[in-house]
Amino acid sequence: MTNAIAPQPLRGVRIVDLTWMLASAGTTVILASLGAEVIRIEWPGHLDFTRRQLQARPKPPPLGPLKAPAAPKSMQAVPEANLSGLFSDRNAGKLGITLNMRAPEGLELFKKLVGISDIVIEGFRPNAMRSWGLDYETLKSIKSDIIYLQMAGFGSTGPYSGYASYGPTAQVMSGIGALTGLPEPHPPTMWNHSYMDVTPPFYGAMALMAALYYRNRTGKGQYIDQAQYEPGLFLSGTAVLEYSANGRRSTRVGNRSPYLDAAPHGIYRCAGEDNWIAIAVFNEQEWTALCREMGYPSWAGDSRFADMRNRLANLDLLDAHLEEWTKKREKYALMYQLQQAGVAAGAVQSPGDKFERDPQLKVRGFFVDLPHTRLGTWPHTRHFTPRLTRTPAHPGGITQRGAPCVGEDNNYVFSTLLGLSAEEIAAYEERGII
Amino acid sequence: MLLAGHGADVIKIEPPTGSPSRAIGPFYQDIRDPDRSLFFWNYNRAKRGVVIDLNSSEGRDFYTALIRTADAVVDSQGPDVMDRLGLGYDWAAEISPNIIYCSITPFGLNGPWRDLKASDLVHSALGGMAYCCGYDPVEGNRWDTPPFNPLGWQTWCKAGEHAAMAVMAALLCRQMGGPGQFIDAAIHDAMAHSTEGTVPRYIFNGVDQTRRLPMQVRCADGVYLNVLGLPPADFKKISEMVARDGLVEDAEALRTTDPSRFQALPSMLARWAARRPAMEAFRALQGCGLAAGAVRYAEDMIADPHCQARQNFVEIEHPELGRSFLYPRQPRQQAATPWRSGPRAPLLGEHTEAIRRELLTKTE
Repeated sequence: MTNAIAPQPLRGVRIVDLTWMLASAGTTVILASLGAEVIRIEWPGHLDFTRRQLQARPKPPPLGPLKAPAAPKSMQAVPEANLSGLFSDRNAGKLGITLNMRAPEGLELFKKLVGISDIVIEGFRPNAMRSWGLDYETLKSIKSDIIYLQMAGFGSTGPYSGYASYGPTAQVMSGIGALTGLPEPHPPTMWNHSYMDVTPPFYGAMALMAALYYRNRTGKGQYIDQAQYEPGLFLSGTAVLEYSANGRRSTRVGNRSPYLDAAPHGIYRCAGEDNWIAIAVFNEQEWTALCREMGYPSWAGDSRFADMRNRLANLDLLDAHLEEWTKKREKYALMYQLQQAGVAAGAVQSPGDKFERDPQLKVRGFFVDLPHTRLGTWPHTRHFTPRLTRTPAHPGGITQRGAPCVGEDNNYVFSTLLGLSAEEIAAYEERGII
Repeated sequence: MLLAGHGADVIKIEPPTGSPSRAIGPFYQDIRDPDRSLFFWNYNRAKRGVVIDLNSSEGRDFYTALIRTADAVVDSQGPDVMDRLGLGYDWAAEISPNIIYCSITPFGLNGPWRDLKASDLVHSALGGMAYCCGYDPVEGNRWDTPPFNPLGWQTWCKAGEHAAMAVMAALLCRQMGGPGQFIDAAIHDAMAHSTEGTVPRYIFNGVDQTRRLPMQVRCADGVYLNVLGLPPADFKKISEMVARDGLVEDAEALRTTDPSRFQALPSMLARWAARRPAMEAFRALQGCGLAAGAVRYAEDMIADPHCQARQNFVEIEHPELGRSFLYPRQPRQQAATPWRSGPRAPLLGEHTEAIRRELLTKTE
């Protein structure tokens, strides 16, 4: 595995990765893009569910046929598991092995791997690892300074700790799901993507980096228990304070700005089907500029809109008038016109807009082409976005490719890292251990 | 706040009039005062605060002394602001060559949108978050409601999280023998990533994931319950439970459903859920392996037994007000190096003199 890219911040850190889907797997994709060696473990009956999602048609290879790796014997009965674009995006830069964690010999190999690693991270239900004899104390006995991060949905303690949880479950357990949409009696809308699959990985990555920093200073590893809902609840602090300080419960406010005076402030229809623009006016200078851009319509001179206080008292009418104007305009043209005039405005971008039409993301290099052994070369997104100027991150990590195919790195891990001979590996494969 | 929570000594620098975020509400007892902003309280706890007038020579001397002792700088003033004062990264690196300098700007320091004006709402729109939040279409591709921006300053939170990760990565890299460096973090980049699988879905399948209501049912107490019919849901067990309520048709639908029909789950559970409060429905469905969750506000979690067991809240003293207030405590459980959740955010200029004295003793 050679690569000629610039050095990365977490070179030399090895992570044993028993994560799943996104909430936990998202943590290690960040660390992979920072240069860590992340070894994902899957096994028969435990292939990541994401491998079934967003299957794509492989791109024609630029130079001759692709040499797709043969799946290990234990996995050969499994239908096509290497065609998921989503799996590639979420697991780019990682190594992948197949190791049967249900078999005692598989557990022994796992322990050998722990012995040469810095971190163990998993997203199982809370007692899974313990039931296999792999709790923190055992891991610590294998490697005294091991760092072990457990990322169960509800966490490993507490009355709900065995409960099932996916991203939306964590979203509502954190109190932030209720905050989106129109006021009651309308129902809350939550996010229609899994925001609480996106957020916990940041906190997991921070936890692991801080733990490495601490270990480098003290020689001590540690055990960390991060429930999926906890970072979300942590983010809701102002709502908790408002209740504690003022006795006031939260409410939904649509697209209004209850805590920072702004009028108009909302999302308004533009020309075409389901096209919208966000406009936010925070002071009289911006309001005057907006009026000028609208061509000083007579309604804007009404005393009900004369200053912020009045506009805040007449928001429904203000929104209705404004939308009569915006709905005739194309969203990007209107955005640039208002920005030129000094008004904060932004087109509501769809995923397709972000990929095809957003000029800023292109320049920022948000999309990076990565080769995938089965899928060919496709654009992948950055899961860690800041630009580190001296030690850049790169979504391809140390492998410089998308996600691993099933067992793609068996040879490297079992032979090069663990020192097994070809015969030993073949024997393990025969018995379904590898 | 995130770096302080991990134990860093964070010194917040404010102009004499105070950080603009002190004007963001809500306010304690609804009194608009720089020391009463609950927004500021939440996002600035565990930090110390100094007032520096960077336009004065005395202020610049103070800032210079701070830079000499700093491992990292986090600068969200906006593109070029500190550079125009002659106090940006190039200047700081002259004084302290291994310094880590993290700039957080709306769109980053290059590109055609570099100098655009933004707000939380505008970032949500441009970043793609708003597009995916809202009600169902009236038909096909037509909505009569707009996309919605989730409350709670999510765009700024995402940017802060990416930046905190970046500073940590840089600190770790430097600890392991690497250089200090400049970091260019952008809110727009962070938001572009925040939409989970939606962009890959467009890239790999050519489909735009649009907004619609989540899978939820309304319970007897008016609280919604989010329900997901994914493994390890035991539909047989759920069917039996619903049958015990006498809801024969719903029970039959549940018994014969298959995983591909889990979108229809709310309609099969609506009548059963409408008869009981959300938390009771939650426990009952979880008992059948169904990932269910009550859609509650954060303040409802205070009395929740799970959040209490995990100590998700903490009282933090505000001595000058003669009382304490409740805050979320920590984003995880970590015994060896516990999260630092307090003390409360600094009053304006609270630590100016103390830190000035500290710097004097350092140079002696």
